[in-house]
Formats: sequence, structure tokens, C-alpha cells
Amino acid sequence: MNSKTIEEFTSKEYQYGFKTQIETDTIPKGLTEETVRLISSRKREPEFMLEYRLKAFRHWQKMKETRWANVHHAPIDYQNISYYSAPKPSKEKLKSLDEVDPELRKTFEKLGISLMEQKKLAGVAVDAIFDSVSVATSYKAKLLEAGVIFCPISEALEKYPDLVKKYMGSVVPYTDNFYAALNAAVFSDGSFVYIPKNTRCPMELSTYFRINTEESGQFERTLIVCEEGGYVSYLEGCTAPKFDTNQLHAAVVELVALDNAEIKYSTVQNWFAGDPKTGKGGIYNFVTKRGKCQGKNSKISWTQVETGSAITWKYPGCVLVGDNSVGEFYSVALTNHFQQADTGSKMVHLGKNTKSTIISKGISAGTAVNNYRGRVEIKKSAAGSRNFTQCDSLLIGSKCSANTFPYIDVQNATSTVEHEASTSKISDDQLFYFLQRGISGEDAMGAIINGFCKDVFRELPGEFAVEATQLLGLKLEGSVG
Amino acid sequence: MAIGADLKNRIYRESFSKELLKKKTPNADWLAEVRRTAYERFEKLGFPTRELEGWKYINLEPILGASFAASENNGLEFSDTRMIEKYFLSENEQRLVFVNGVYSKNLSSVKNLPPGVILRDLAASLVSHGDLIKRYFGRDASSETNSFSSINTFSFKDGLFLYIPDKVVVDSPINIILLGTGDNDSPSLFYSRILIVTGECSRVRVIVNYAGLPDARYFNNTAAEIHVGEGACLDYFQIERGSKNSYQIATNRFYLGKFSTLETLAFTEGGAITRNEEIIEFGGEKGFASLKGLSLLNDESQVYNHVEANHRVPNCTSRQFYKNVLAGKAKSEFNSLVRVSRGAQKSDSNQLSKTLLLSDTAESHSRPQLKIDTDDVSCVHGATVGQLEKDELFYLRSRGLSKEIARLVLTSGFAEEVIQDLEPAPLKSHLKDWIGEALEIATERKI
Amino acid sequence: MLLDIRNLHASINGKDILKGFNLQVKAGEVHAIMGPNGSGKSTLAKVLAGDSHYEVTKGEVLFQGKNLLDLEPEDRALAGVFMAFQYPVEIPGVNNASFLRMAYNAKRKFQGKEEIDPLDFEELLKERLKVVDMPQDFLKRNVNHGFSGGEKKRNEILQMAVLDPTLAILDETDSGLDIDALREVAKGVNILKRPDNGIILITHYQRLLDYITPDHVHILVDGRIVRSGGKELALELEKKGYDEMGASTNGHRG
Repeated sequence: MNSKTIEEFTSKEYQYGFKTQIETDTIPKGLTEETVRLISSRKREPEFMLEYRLKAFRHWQKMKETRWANVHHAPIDYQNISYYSAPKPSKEKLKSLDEVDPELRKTFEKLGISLMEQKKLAGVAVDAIFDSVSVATSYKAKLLEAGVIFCPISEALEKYPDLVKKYMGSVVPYTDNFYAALNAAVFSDGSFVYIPKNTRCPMELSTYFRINTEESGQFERTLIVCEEGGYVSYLEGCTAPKFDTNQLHAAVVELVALDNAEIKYSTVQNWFAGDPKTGKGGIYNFVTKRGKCQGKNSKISWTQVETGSAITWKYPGCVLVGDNSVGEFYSVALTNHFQQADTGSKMVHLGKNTKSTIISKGISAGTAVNNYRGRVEIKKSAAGSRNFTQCDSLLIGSKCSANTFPYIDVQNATSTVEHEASTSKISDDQLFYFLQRGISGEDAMGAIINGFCKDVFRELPGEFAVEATQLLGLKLEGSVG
Repeated sequence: MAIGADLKNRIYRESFSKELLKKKTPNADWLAEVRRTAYERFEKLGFPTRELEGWKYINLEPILGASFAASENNGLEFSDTRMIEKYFLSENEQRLVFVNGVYSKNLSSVKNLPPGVILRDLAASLVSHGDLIKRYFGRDASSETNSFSSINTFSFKDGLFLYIPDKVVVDSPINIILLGTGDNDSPSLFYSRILIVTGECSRVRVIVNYAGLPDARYFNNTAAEIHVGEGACLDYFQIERGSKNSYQIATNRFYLGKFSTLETLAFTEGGAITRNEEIIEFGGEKGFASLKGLSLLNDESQVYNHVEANHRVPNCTSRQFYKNVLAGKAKSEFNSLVRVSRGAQKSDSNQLSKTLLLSDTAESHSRPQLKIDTDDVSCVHGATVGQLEKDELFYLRSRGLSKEIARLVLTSGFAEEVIQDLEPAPLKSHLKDWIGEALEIATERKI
Repeated sequence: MLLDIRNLHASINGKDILKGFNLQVKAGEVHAIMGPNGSGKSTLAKVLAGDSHYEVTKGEVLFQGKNLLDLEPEDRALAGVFMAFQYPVEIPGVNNASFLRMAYNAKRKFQGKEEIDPLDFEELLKERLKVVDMPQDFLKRNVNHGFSGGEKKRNEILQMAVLDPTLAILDETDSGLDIDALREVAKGVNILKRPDNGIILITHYQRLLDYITPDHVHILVDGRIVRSGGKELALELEKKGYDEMGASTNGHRG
């Protein structure tokens, strides 16, 4: 391996590191029942929501933090975090992007998210969350025309409380795990999407958000409900500034698809990964994402490109309840320097003739650790079901690690599960071939890695595919080696 | 606590007693020290619980809760060869038979060994070759992770010692028969300890049969330490056909020298609960290990296979090929780990496990895992669980075979692929017969 | 009349492939069915063999006067229908010789005869091997496992030689073979040709027909036969290509 190439590749600085100087309304650190009540009242939530939060909080107090064998981090002091932070708005609501705080707008522009130009031209409705409160929501009117609801959860609680009450917690109950309970207690905001019967959402939906304030955790809650015959493609992407103290991010995403409905959820993630030389700073990303294919012939697919976070713990998965339903998971996870990732997917087959596909590509570089943890469960009732899993690891440099921990549990005799995995490196021969044709080492790496990931990139919605490729290139310029 | 109290008490009273330590061996001291280490290790570990990754699916209650009878004299008078004849391979085999862990000289037959080869029951060997055994015995006692192996270390009374000097080839198969004879009223608990040390460029084939009288109830806890010398070849085949009430826990540690070759087979048919733990340590470069397993389970049989290949040095190759055919309410777990340490460049590993489920009440759990800490390696694994291929069924039917017969042919073919290249021929022939019988019952059809 | 196919319609996954297929094969005849990709050639073979992926939506097939479509795949085989697969499946773990003996005995049982003695069968196999000109160790291997393309096709012909069918359908037996392998396969088929059996050759290219002379050639386009003729038709097709033949024979029925 050309060691000079490795050196160059592994040293690019995180370009999004900076902070916006803005006043924020932050509540004091610590988590007590009082905190929960304070959050709920600040957001002016209906009674049932407060009750739910309190139940979750009390349950959380009894739980133990989830510790997976292969991810190591300093203990998190849950009392040393502020659970609510929002920029002081000049008005209560913003009708258009023009009303967004100019400082904030500058932030978004620095991030390359020119809400105005890019998203508007592409016809993408953007729900940008600045820290814990949604600042701008565009294209609401157009969507409302189609009957599609796309708004912050806080607004949904106000306008459509019955819908939220019916589905929130139905896919990820607060009892599910430690972080889900925490999130249910203190979640600040997130997206709510509702697609009515037989409606195809007219545009791809996306949400950008970033963590700004030091010491403030981020607890998003997203809920997407797709009624019979509906379709929606949702994009989630985020960036974050550079800090010295680790920041906790414990989001929950719930998807519900009824008969013949389809939800496509894509994520391109670019959290700060920690100082490349010391490993300090960086985001702790503990996320619970789950889709319930409730209805017959329903389909939910998760596509993600993960390139950031100091620590990532996330297993987007599907519960396939309806007969003939389909769950898919396509992922590229890149870890470099001191990052640790423990990610994978969980597919639970309950209905007959259900089908799931898992394609996971992990790339490790530097001294990073990349763990794939997948679970495929075919229950007795899931006659005639199929799963295909492929997890491949690419190791770059001799100091990183790639681990694969699949769990395959089958309880009936008419289903089929196929699982394949491989681990390899970029060979000197491959690199030399490119160099010999006049292609730079950097470009060669990029091309090889893109080839490695193409099965996943192919699943990303149009504009995201381009962004993902660029992001990977950026991260790999700074990490491939 | 009720669960395990009986077994633990038994261990206190029966096994780890001063009597045992005072056995008449000139080397009692060093052995007592190893046993004490193992006991302390067990105290620390306790019995495994479901929270441990490697014991997640196994329910140990039937074993821990059973009241085992004192196994001191169980079956010493046993001399009925008809029960064990089916395990005999050939006239020239070297046979050692143990009944409930006790060596039976009458049933055994060791003759015409090449010079320098030591093949004896362990208890006698500790007297005659104590120093030699001391060099290899209990190497990892202080870091043992499997409690049952620790228990074996401080509880065993006898077992096998096999020593092959450099460059010696042993043509005749070493055929060990471990027979359990307890019954429902007094199930027996016994231990067998196996120590095998093979010299440079030597060759030997060892077969260990875990057998039981029909319907016998017993717990066979066997632990083996096997050192394969540089350039040596060793075959280690476990044939487990315990009775339907038997519990079999085997922990085998293989230490491979450079350029050595190891082939293992874990064949399990029947038994109530069987757990095989096979750990391979590559101690030198260019080692090769091929680990195969085949389990045919019906009724309520359960098998838990744990296989670990540790590539700690570069240039070694490991292959794992395990198949299960489950009918009735049977349950299987295949938990495999390939670990490649930092710096173990050019490691080559390939794991493949396939499970065929013949009933909706059978359960399969597969966990093929990889822990890779270095980049210049080729590590591949695959696992499939499912049923027979429709295309293959159609092919056979298009040639006139009925649906039922086609199923049986394909299921046999599925199973037999594991023993395709097996030697010696008599063993392969026995296995084919047993596979045929088991599958006929499982698919309820005769060819 | 050995085989009488009338107005056969068949589909897979809801897509219609055969759309009114007709064919009559008399004993002693060799029929060649040629067609472009997607015309339904393989579907025809599979439907006749009883592959459950395909659904017959209309029409009937009489084999020696009896309804073939009512029979299970194994019963069709026992009745004397043999299909040589285009892509013979590999079955590791099942020995070639054992498999052949099982199939042979199944037929004998069906005919009310005794099962053959293994040693006698070995002799029979040795004889049959000459038909395909393959070495003995062919029998020691597992069914098609590790066989080259040519070997797989010859194994199909070996099976044909052992089972002695009344009607043999060879599904693109020539595809993927080089000239030498092709000659070997053709030689085998010619040896097995008799006045009391029938052969249907399904093929894309005409070169197989240089070695196995057909009595009738049919052109299959879009699920039905558009033209029939003698051996010369195949040569004409070779010269003009499917497009021209298909276009020029639009509306004509074979």
C-alpha cells in the first residue's frame, strides 16, 4: 500500500466546524420530572403528551444504559446535559423563509443549505430544525393541497393530536430501550408526516438539523404515517459543528405503512466525528429507527450513508406484520480515525410471504472500529418468508477493525434465509492498475470505494445520491488511506 | 437457590475432595495446583447464564437441576460389547472404552503401536508419564471461559493420553468410546479428560464416540486439549449419538503448530442437549484447519455448536462447514467466530453453515461472526436456512422419482455432502447408514 | 400419434408466453422447434415436463392419447416423457450413479418389473456410457456438480440413454457447447433415435441440425408456430434471420 497516499488521505479537516453566535433559551442542566414538565409546558402540549412523557421518564429511571460489548465510551452524565434549547424567536411563527433570523440564515448558508435556492428549485420542502425548535417550514401549502401533512411534531400535536396519539409509540414503545425511553420523555421536536389514502406525496421531503449549543443533547422524534396505497420518500441529512465535549443524540424515528403503502426513508449523515488526532469531541449518536409494515403488501425501505459521529448505535429495521410486506435496508457506514460504529438492521418477520433485504457496506480506516450487528427473525407465523443479507467490509490500513455479528433465528420450515459476508481490503494490484492508467491514487480510491458502495447508492433518491457521493468523497479524501 | 444446587453440591462433595487430591500419583502436587486453579476459576465464573453471549439459547436447567448418582462404580461390571460394537471400525483399530468415565480394560484393545507412541488411559499415564503430561496439561486453566471445562479440570478421574513422537505415522485409527449407562432413577455424571500431543510431521486419526445405552440418562462432560506439532496432521472426529435423555458437553482446545493440518468433524444425532465448543489457536504460520459439523435432530434434541478460529499469526487458513437437518421440535445453534488479530496478514477464512428445517416446530439459530483487526485478509462467511431447492426437486421428479423420494434423496444428499471425503472408509460407511436411518424417520419414508 | 398439442396457452407470473401452440409428433419423427429469444421455446419444454412455475391457461396436450397435463412431473417421466434441461441443476451430495439407478428402478417398478440388481445396473451403465463417450469416473461424481457445460449436457443424454423415453424433449441442448461437444451430444441422440420414439429439438441455431437431421422444422414466434417445413426451412432461416422470417410469415400458421 502506498503509505504516502494513506497519509494524505487521512488528514482532511472537518469543514463544517463552527458555531453560530445567537442567543438561545436554554433551561438549566439536569433531568428530573420537573425538566420533563418544563419541556412540555414550553411547547404547550396537550395533556396526553405530558402524561406519556412522564410515564416514559419514570420507566427510564428504572432502566440501565445499553452497553454493547464492542463500543467503548466514557460514561455519559445524563444530569450534565441541557434538555432544551431554542433560539428566541422574534415572532411566534414564521410564515416564510424570509422571516428567518438573518444570523440563522447565514448559518444555513455556510452549511451549504441555501434553503431558498437549492431546495426551492429542486422542489423539496424543507423542515429545518435549529437545535430543538423548527424554524422554517416551506411548501406546506402545496402539500396540504395534496392532503399531505408535513410539519413539526409540536405543530401536529396542536393541529392533529388524535393522529399523533394514535401512532406515536406504536412502533417504538418507550419500553423498547434506554434511549427510546429517554427520547420519549424529553424529545424536543421532529417531523410529522401523514400521507392520506392513495396519495403519492408530490415531492421528496427532507429535514436538516444540527446541534449547536454546547452540552445540549438532541432528541428528535419523527413519525411518518402512510395510509392505504400511499407513497412518500423522506430524506434526512445533518451536519454539526465542532466541539470539545461529546454531544448526545438520541433520536427515535417511527414509520407506519398500511395496506399497499410504501415509505422510503433516506439518511445522509455527517455528524462531527471527533478530533482526528485525539478522538475528542464528536457526536454520540444513539438512534432507534423502526418501520412497521402494518398492512398487506406494504413496503418500507431504509437507505443510509453514515459518515460521522464519534459513536454510532443504530439499527434501522422493520417489523413485517402484513402478509407479503417487504422491508429493505441499504447502508454504507464509514468510520475513520477514532470512530466507533455498532450498526446494522433488524428484520422481524411475522406475516406470511414477507420479504426482507439487507445490504450493508462498512468501510473502516485509521484506527476506527466498524461493527455490523444484524438480526433476522423469522417467526413461526411467517410462512414462506425470505431474507437476503449481504454485509461486506472494506478495511483501509492495517490498524482498523471490522466485525460482523449476525443473528439468524428461524422458526418455520417454509422460509429461506441467505446470508453472505466478506471482508477485504483495497488491493495494491487494484490501486496500481489505476495509477498505471494515469489516475491519481485519491481518485482511484474514490472510484474503488464508490464501486464497493454502488448497490447502496443506487437506492438513494436522485439528489441525495449526488450529495452522498460527494460526501463520501470528502470524507474519504480525509479518511481513505 | 434451587437450580444448580444439586450439581454444585455434588461438585463440592464428590469431586473436589481431599480424596481426589490424594490420588496415588508421584506428581500429585502439580496436578493438584492445576485443579485448584480450575476450581478458583469456576468459583469466579459460576454456571453460565443466558446473559452470556455464548449461552444465550441453551437451557441448562435439565442438567443443573438433575440429581446425579455417585458415578464411582457405575458400570464397572458392564461388559456387553453388543452395545458398542456398532462403533468398532476395523480389526486393527486402537480401541479404548470408558464406561461412565471409568476405563474398561476388558472392552479395550491396544496393540502393535509404532515405537514411542503412548496411548493409555490418563490415570495410568499420570503415573507413568507425569512429567511429559505436565508440560502440556491445563495450559489455559486460569483463563478458561467455559465453566464446564473448569469443572472437568478439577473433577476428572480418567480419560485419554495420546502422545505421538516426531515423524511417526499411526495408520490404525484411534477409536475412543465413551459410554454412558445411567438410568432415570440414578442418572450418571462423568468426566473424561483428553490430552493429545503430536510430534513434528506426525499423522494420526482420532475418533471419539459419545455413546449411551438406549434411553440411558447421563451427563458426559468431556474436555480435550490437543497439541498438533509442526507439520503434523491430525483428524479429530466426534461421533455423538447419545441416548435421547443424554446431556453431552464437550470443550475442545486445539493448539496448532506451524504448517500443521487439522480436520475435525462434529457429528451429532439425537441426544437431549449437546454442546460442542471447539477453539482453534493458530500458534504458527501456514496452519490449516478444516472444521466440519453435521447434526441430524428430531423430537426434542438440541445441539449448540460453538466454533472459534483464532488467527493470531499470519498466513493461516481456516474453513468451517456445518450443516443441520432439524425435524420435530429440534433446535440448533451454530455460533461461530473467526478472529483475526492485528498483524495476522494474509489470513484466509471461510465459514459456511446451512440448515434445513423439516418441520414448523423446529428452530434454528445461526450466528456466524467475524472480528477482523487487520486489512490484508480474505474472510468470507455465508449462512443459509431454509428448505430444499425447488429446482432440484423438480429435476429429480422429472426423472420419475416421486415427490417424497425426491425429498429424501435431496435431504440425504444435503447431509452427506459433509462427509463426502471422510476417511476411514468404515467410519464413512457407518455414518451413511446412520444418516439414512435418521432421515428416513425424520421424513417418514423409506428409499 | 405420440404427442398432440392443441391450442396450448401458458403463462408465468401473469405474463402470457404460449399463445395457441399446436404440434403433432408421430413415432419415429424428429421435430425441430426454432425461435428467437422470448418466443416461448423453454416455456414449451417446461410446460410439457410439468414445471409448476408455469400455468396452463388453455388448450390440451395428449401423450399417446392420454391427457399429459393432468399428471405430476414424476408420472409424466414414468409414462415416458424425458426433458433434457437447458441448465441442468447441480446436486452436490447425490451420487450420479445412485441417482441413475434410482430413476431406472422407479421406471421398472412402474412397469411392474423387479428392481435391478446393483451389479447388473453397473453393467448396463457401462454400456450406456458408450453412447455419450464419457469415462467411468463420470459416475463417481455427484450429479452435475463441478461439471463443465458440455459435461452437464452429456449427462442429460446419458440419463436419456438409461431411461429410454418414448418422447424426448431437448431444451437448447446445444447452447453453450463448442463444436466437439456438440458433435458428441448429437451422436448420442442419433444412437437413441428409434422408429418407436419421438424427439423434439428446441434450438436457437441451426447448426445442431447439421448433425441431427429433423423430419420437420417449425418456427416459433411470440408463443405460436408461424411456419413449418422440412430441413431446408432451417437453412432458409439461417440465411434470412428471424426478423425477416417472422415478418414475412405474419399471418401464416404452421
